[in-house]
Amino acid sequence: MTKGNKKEPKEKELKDLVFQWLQSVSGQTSIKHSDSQSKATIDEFAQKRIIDLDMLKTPISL
Amino acid sequence: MKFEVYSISDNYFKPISKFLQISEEKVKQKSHLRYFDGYLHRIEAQSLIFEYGYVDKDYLEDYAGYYVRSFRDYERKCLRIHVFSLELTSSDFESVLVNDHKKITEEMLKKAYLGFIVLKPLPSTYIGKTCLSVYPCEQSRFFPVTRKYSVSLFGIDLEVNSLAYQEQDSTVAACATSALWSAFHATGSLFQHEIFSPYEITKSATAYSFETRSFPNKGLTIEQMAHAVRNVQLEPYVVNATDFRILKSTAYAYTSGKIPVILAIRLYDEQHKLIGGHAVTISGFGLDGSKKNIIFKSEQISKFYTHDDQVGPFAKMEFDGKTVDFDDDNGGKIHQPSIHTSFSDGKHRAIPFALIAPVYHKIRIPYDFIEKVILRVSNYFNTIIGSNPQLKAFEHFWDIRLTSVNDYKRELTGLSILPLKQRRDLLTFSMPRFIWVASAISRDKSEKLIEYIFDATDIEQGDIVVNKVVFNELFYEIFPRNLSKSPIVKQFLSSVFSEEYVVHALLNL
Repeated sequence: MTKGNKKEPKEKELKDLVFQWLQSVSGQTSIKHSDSQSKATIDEFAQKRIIDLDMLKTPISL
Repeated sequence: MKFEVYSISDNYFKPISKFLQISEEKVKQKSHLRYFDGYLHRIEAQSLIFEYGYVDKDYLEDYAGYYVRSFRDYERKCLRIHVFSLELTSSDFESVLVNDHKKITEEMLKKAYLGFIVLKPLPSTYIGKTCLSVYPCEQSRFFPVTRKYSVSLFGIDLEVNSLAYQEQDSTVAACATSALWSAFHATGSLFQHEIFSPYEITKSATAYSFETRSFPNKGLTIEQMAHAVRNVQLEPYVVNATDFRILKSTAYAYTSGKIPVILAIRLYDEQHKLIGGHAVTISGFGLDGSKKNIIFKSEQISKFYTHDDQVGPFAKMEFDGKTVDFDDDNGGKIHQPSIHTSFSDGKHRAIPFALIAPVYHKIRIPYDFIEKVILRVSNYFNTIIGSNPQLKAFEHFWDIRLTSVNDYKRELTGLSILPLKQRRDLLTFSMPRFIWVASAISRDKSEKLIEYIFDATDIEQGDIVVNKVVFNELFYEIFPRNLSKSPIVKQFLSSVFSEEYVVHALLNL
């Protein structure tokens, strides 16, 4: 949405606005940034999911 | 065989003590029986029928495998207590038996049936196979891991929807075996495998371990539990569950698909001292729907309902935000997030460390792969939402769950929100037996925006995106359609890495 645009955009306008933003430099920079963020989150969770050897050998006996 | 009928308000501990040949005082001290008493009141039980001389298959296997060779004469036959939600007297029940219906009919008995509790003729660990109806269902409670149990009471066919529970006897089974036994009751019905007795489960779990003797059994390790899972031709999906977000999302995804999840925990007392390792079977969960500022629906989980052999069936484990505190090496404190349990009257707290989901071998795509795909897509979508205040209405969270094609199509048939033609096309669309479903749900209206269906039986490098269901056309146009045309997204997703290949396929669907 550009500054000074007072009216709410219609559905098609909104879709086109998003399309243009995605093609723009700021859109592409934002996507680039978000992509590296999501990759970092995915890597963090992948590490946390790994079960270590101590856990496998922990006696479950109560 | 003889029977006796009691009202829930009677002192039914007395006939129990007589059957077990222990004092009434001792029976009243038994924590399981106290838990059952409270549970029976909560599910609005009115009457109990005591069926004496009952032959329980599971106990018989344990008896044949172990107890029969003892010097002491252990009894072979059990007491089965049937629970009903209607007031009943002995003469009422007798008239139903002889088909001389007066006040109570067979149909009324069937409708009022709430399940059964088997008591084994053992000295202190006597709670045998127990199948009790779940708590009355509300919007916030879910018990997906239950199945139908058929019961014959003197020729009267009864049914209860439950998941079998039993206490460990500390001889042929410790808590880990009891948790596996409950889990196998669900998977046995779901994937048609044999349901072994506790004795047989312990034996198979310890078949390749040589550290110590198998019987009397003092517990299992995760490794041994995984062996027992393989023995019923299932695959153990084992995950580190110390992170609550991983614990909740994984448990939610599999239990939603009716697959029980075994949770391994470390228990701590009130002084935060370690008591030991314990295992429970997650059979349901409670959701806090007011939590909307989330990425995944599973973050709404406020409690698990677990089969805890030291407590009872459907015992609550609540995420109450409290910690267990330890001293660190530098004289400081470590505050570890923990879960409130029903263990030891709620005094003990749990720190989870591992999850085991026993899955059918054809369910090859694990939950974490679908989560990776959705996290990538979700970040793209959220970046767009953040770019324009007009898009706030499209803020959403994701519901990721495993299901079968039959269950999914059954859900679709009742989904009147979809146009008839779209529903018909989806219902007749050929899909694999097991699917992952990821739905984007709007935060403000809790309405579905889009749903992606993935083939759970394929390989990660395969073409796993099966179909999409568009609930909100504008959402579809603004987000996936626009993203698929973005040069930078195209560039990122041209990678050969499987997850990126799937994200690309999903945006272009």
